[in-house]
Amino acid sequence: MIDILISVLIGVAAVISALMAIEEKRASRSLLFFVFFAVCLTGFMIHSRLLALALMTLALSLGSFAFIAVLYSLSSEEKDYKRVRGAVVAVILAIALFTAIGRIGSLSQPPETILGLHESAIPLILAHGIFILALALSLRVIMKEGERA
Amino acid sequence: MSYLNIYLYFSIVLLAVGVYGLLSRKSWAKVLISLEIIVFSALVLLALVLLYSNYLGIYVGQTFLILLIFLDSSMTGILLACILLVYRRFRARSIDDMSRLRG
Repeated sequence: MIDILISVLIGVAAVISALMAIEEKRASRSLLFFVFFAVCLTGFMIHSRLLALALMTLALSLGSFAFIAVLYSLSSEEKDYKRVRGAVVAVILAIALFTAIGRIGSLSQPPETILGLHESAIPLILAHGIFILALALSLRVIMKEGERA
Repeated sequence: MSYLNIYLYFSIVLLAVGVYGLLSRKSWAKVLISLEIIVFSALVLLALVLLYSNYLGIYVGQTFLILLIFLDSSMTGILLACILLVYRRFRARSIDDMSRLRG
């Protein structure tokens, strides 16, 4: 019962903060809601007993937060919204997915002790670290080429 | 119904919120936030379906999740670089200004 209560709380908080991050006009508040959304996601991971992945999610979503903060200085203020079109498409999509997902039976309880990553995942993380490094270098090349052009 | 099912429905609602933001907003930052929300909804769904599936092992699920998290971060980095370049070259401040890039 407590598990269900916590999951409902985390779900509602995440959905509301995601909506507010999109709807809020002031950049600072929008970013704040995005951070709260990331914290809710981390809460979901911890509640599902995935501590290592929760920390990774939090770190990387805070990285995205930095990117979005940079982008806010480049964005213009919005005046005309297409709310109705977006809302209609989103509701239709959600209803279709709810119908499809409704066929899935009740999920079993997760195993009790999944707190860390398996040893075999460590080389994968290192490989991804190298990948991210290569990405950073290629971004630098892209930026330099763009400046030259 | 276990609490895992509630998270399943929660991921669908998150996807709908992300699609709404993607279709209704035009500024770069809001579009990126919407994309992040969509990716996080996929992350929640993957975490549930893969980690608690009877057919795949727990560690296969962890591997998929790590892959998705890193892909998300690299996607954000590439998007930021592209947007910065478009801004420097065309002074484009929203998606509408990108129409100039049409061939």
